[in-house]
Amino acid sequence: MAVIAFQRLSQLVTDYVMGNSGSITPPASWTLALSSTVVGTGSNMARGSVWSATVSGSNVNEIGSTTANGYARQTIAKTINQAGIDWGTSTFDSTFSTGGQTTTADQVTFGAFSGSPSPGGSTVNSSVLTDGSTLNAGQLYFAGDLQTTRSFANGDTEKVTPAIKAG
Amino acid sequence: MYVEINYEDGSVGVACYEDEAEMQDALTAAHARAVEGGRASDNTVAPASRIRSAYVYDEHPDDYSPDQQTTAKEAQAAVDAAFKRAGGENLSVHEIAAEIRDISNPFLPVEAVEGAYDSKYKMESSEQLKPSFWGGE
Repeated sequence: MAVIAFQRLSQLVTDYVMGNSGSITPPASWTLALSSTVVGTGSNMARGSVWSATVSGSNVNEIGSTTANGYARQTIAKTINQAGIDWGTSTFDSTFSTGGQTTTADQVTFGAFSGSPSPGGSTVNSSVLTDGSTLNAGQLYFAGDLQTTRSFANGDTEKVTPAIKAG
Repeated sequence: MYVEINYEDGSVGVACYEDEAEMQDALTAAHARAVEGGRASDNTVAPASRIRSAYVYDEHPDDYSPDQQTTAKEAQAAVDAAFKRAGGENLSVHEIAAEIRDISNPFLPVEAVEGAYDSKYKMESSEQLKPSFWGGE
């Protein structure tokens, strides 16, 4: 499964964590989105990608921007084990080449869908950690391909559990 | 319109619908599938879960404080609360900062959510739907 960390996540480390920036700051909360764009291997999403409804270059396209049909971004609080949906206790993997610190969020639930969101509802390929509730807007932080392409119909729900390893 | 849906298995999600009829179609179909022992979707073997509560919002409840602004009074109250909880005269600046950052958290703290299926969000909902809306009991 391909994954990518976008430029803004790196900038939070360099400017906010390292430099205590007051302008490059984390959002009030994270939101998880679904995208029809494949993370790929460098030819689809890129470190400098942006959200856009226009399918072009390395743009990331969110599903449901024309017709939501039940789709909305899901909130993940910026806390650890303190809210309905937030991050868990992180764990450390000391493996030299592949290790790092991992945290997993509580599972989020998309839907119930009332049909296939448009565009992209029949070819959902990835989940994206972002911010805000406006579709195709906000910052991109990281993304991962789903195990298989998803599609949605009336009454469907979709559960996604995001995790990130920093290493 | 947006609706926060609390499911019997403890999961919670927010969905966006054009109107009430569309919302009722989706919630009724999702709940009926759980009652019949069906799957959450064709994409998964996970079982569908019954809907236990639903709260309607005019905007996405994540938009509680998107610009992360606060007042001097609200910030001072957060600082006071941090010191009161610590019970001492000295406190890490990071604990104080975390308390202030939490002002813009759209979720309620766990201890403020009384029932398992009560709303998880700070934003005031415009309506709590009755179970009969989605065919529940």
